[in-house]
Amino acid sequence: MKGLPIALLLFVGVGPVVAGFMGTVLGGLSASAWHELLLEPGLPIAALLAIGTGVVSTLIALTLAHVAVAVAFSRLRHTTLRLAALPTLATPHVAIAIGLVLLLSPSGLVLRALSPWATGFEQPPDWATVQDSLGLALTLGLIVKEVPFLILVLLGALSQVPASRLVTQGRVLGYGVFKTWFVAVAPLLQRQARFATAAVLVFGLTNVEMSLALGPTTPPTLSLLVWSWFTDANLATQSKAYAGALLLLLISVAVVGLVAGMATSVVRQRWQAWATNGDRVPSLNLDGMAARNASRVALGLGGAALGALLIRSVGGTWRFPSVWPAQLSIAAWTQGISDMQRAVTASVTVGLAATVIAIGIVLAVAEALHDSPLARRRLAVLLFIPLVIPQMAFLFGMQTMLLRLHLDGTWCGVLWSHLLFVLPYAWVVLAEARAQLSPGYRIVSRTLGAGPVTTWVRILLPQLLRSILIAAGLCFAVSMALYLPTQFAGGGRIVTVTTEAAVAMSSGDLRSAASYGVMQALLPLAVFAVTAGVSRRLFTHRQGMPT
Amino acid sequence: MRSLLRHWRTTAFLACAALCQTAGAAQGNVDWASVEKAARGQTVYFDAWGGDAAINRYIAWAGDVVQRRYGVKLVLVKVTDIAEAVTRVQAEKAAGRTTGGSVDLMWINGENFASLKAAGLLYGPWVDSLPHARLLDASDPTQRTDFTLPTAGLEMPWGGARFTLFYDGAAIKTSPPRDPQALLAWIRAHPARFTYPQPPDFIGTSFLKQMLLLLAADAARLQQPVSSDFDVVTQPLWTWLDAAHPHLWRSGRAFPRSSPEQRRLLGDGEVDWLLAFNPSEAARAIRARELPDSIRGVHFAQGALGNSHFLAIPFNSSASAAARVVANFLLSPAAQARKSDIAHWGDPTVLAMAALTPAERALFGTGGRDAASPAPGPLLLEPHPSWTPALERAWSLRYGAR
Repeated sequence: MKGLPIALLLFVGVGPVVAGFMGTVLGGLSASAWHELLLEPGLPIAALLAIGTGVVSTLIALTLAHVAVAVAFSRLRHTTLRLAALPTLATPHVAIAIGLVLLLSPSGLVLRALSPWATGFEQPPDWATVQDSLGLALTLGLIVKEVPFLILVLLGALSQVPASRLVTQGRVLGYGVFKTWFVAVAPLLQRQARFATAAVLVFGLTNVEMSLALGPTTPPTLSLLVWSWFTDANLATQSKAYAGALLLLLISVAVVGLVAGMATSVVRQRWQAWATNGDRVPSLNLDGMAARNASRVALGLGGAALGALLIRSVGGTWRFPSVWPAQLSIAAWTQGISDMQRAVTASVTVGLAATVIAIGIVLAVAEALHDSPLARRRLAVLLFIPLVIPQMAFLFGMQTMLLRLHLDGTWCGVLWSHLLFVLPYAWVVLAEARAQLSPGYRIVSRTLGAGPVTTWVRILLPQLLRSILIAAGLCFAVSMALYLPTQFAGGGRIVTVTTEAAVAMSSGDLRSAASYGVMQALLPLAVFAVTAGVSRRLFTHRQGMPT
Repeated sequence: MRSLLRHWRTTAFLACAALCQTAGAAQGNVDWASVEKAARGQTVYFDAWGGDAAINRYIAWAGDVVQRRYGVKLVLVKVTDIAEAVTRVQAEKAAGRTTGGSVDLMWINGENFASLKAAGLLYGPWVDSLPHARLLDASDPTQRTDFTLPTAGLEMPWGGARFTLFYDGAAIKTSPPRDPQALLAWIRAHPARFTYPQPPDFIGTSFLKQMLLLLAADAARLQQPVSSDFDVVTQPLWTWLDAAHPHLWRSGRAFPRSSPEQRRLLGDGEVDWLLAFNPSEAARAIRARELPDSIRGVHFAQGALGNSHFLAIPFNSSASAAARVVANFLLSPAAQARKSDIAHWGDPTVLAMAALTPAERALFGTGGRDAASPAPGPLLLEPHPSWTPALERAWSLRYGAR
C-alpha cells in the first residue's frame, strides 16, 4: 500500500525523463550527426556564450541573493524581502525578458527618459544594449530573474538553520555582522540551496526563452542553435539537433561538476582560511555594501520591466524620443481577446490541474516516507533530474514518446510534461514539512481511537495547510512559466499565455508580446494573493501553527 | 463613415456569396455537396505562421464564418516557422501515423512545399475540385509554379506577394533608391539606418534572393537547381553585402529576427527601412497605429521578387473534407476581398477580376492606391527552391558567426 503512491510518483515524474533521454541518445548517437554538429559555423562561440552567460549570471545572482537575505535577517525584514521578490518570481522568464528589451534597448524607456535633454539623441543611438555579442544583456536578464528565486530558496532554508544563535555567538566573539553571517550562516544556507543553485545554473546554460529576447544572434547561444535545428524541415538537421542536445547535456554536466568541485575544494579552503584568520574588520558592514544596492537594482529592474510591458501593451505609434506613446490603443488587448481567452484557459486549467495532482501525489508519498529520511533524499535526487539537466536533452525524446501514446498535442500531454517540473517543487516544500511534524500528534490521535484517515485529515492536514498553500502558489507559478515543455508536448495545438508570448516575441510583435507578458505576471500573482489571503484567514487565530 | 460603408458592403456581399454558392450546389455539383456534408462537425487544425496579429485576426474571422456556415471548427495553430509543421508531418510519417495527423491545413510555399511534395506527404490533387478554383487568375505565373515547381493541384493559391521596401518619407525626402547600387550608396551615407531580418527568416532570405536576382550576371540561371557554380553565381551578392554590412544597423553584427520586429524598429525610429512581402504592409500598419503615416513603399525598378503563398493538406489529415471546405471559403470573393482590405490584412488577391461578377468586383473597393503602397511594377520569378537552403547556409557561414 505504501509502494503505490511512490510508484505513481516515479512513473509520472521520472518515467518520461528516462524515456525521453533514451530517445535523445538514440537520435543523437550518429557519427554523421556529430560531424555535422562540429562543422557548424560559430559552434565554439555559441557554446562559450552559453557557458559564460550561465556561469556569470548564476554567481552574481547567488551573491546578490545571499546579501539580500543577510540584510533582511539583520533588520528582521523577511516579509518585506519576500514581498519584494514575489512579482519577479511570479513573472515568467519570457515576460521579464520582453520587459527588459522594452526598457533597455536603444529605443527603450531608459534612453527615452534621458533624450534628448541629457543625451542629445533625436534618433536612438546604434548601441547594442540588448542582443550584444558578449551576452551581457542576457546575463543581466538571467540575474534579474534568478535573484528573487534564490532569495526565496535561501529564506526558506533559514528555518532549517540556527541563524540567530550563530549570529549572536559571532557578535559575542567580536566579529562584525557581515563576517559572522558569511562565515557561519551563509555556508549552511548554501548547503540547503545547492540543488536550487544547480537548477539555476543549468537553466542559465541552456535556456531558450531568455536568449531569444536578450541574447546575441550572430551566433546565438548553443541552446537557441539546437532549438532552431530541431524545428528545421530538413531531416539531417534534426539529427544534428539531437547531437546538439547531447552536447548541451555534456556541457551542463561538466560545468555543474566543475563548479561543485571548486566549491568543495578551492572555495572551501579559502573560506576556512578567512573564517579562522581571526580578522575582525569592523569596517565591512552590510549597510554600505554595493552588492546590497545591486540586489535592490535587480529587484527594481524586474518591477520596471513589468511596468514597461504594461505601457507597451497599450501603446500605439511611439517614435523615439517620446517617453509616452503618441496614441494609446487597447487594440492588442481587445482584438486578440479570443486568442487571449483560449491561452488563459489553457494556462489556468493546466496550471491548476498540475498543482492539485502534484500536491496530492507528494502528500501521499510524504506520508508514506515521513520516517525514512534516506528514501526521501534518494527520491529527491530522482525528482530533481528534470531541473538539473537541460530540458532539450529529454524533451525531444519525450515528444516521440507522447506521439506513440497519441498524447502529443493534447491537454493531458501538456499536463504530464508540466508535472515533471512541478513535482520537484511540491516535493521540496511538502516532504520536509510533513517530516518535521512531531510524531506525537499522530500517536496521541491513534491512541485516542482515531483511524489513520481521520488522524491525517483532522490532525496532520491542518498542520500542513500553510505549506500546502505555499506549494500551490509555487507550483502554479512554475507551470505558468514553462515554455519548452508546453511547446514540445502541445505541438502548437495547446497554446498557453507563455507560448503565445514567445510566438509574439520571436516574430517581433512587441505589442502583443507585452499584453501576454502582463497576463503571464498577473495570473500567478493572483494565485499567490489568493493563497496568502486564505492562509491569513485560516491562521489568524492559530498562532502556534507551523509556518 | 467610410468604414461603415465598407462594412455594409461586406455584409451585403457575404449574403450574395452565400446565395451564389447555394445556386452552384443546386446546379448539380453533387460531389462538392458531399464534401460539405462530410466536413460538417470536423475540426481543422490550420498551421500557419502566427507572428502577425492582423493575420491571426483575419483567420479568426474566417473561423467564425466557416463554423456558422459549414459547421467546421477552424483552429489556428501558430508556428514561428512553417518548417515546424513540416517537421511534425515528417515525424508522424516516421512514427507510422497515416491517419489522424496533427496538421489538417498548412500555409506554405517554396522549399517547404518542395520537401513535402518530394516525400509524397501531401493530400491531393484537390485544388481543381473546389467550386471557387475557376476564379483563380490563370495569367499569374506564380500561381501555377511555386519556386519553379509545378503546384500540380496539391496546393491552393491563397495570396500574392511582391517583395517591397518601405522607407520613412520623413527621413528620405528625395526619391528613394531603386536599384542595388543606389541603395548601397544610401546605406553608406546613412550608417545604421538600414537592416534586414536575419536569414533563415523568410523575409531575410527573400531579400537575399531579390538582391541576387538583381545582381547576378545571368538571372535565368537561378531558375535551374543549384550546382557546383553556386559560388560564381552568388559572388556579386556577397560583394554587395560585404560592402553594405559595416554600415548597417548594429554594424551588421545583429539583425532583427523577423519583418514584424523590423517594423517595430521602424516605428520606434531605430531604422528608416522595412522589408516585407506584402505591398500593403505599411498601409495596414499605419491604420493599426503601428507605423507613422510618413511611411512610403517602393519596388526595385528592375522588378520585384514575386510569389504566391498557398494552402496545402498533409497526407494524413483526418479532416481533409473540412480542410477543403475552409480553403474554398478562403478563396471566395468575400473572403479574398476582406483579405485584401487594409483594414484587415491587405494581402493581394489571387482571383482574376475578370472572372468575377460586377458585384463581386465591387467588394474589392475602387482599386485606388493608398499613399503608402508602391505602384505595381515588373515581376521577378522566385529561383528554384534549392537556392533557398544554399543561400541560407552560405549567409550563415559568412555572417552568422563573427
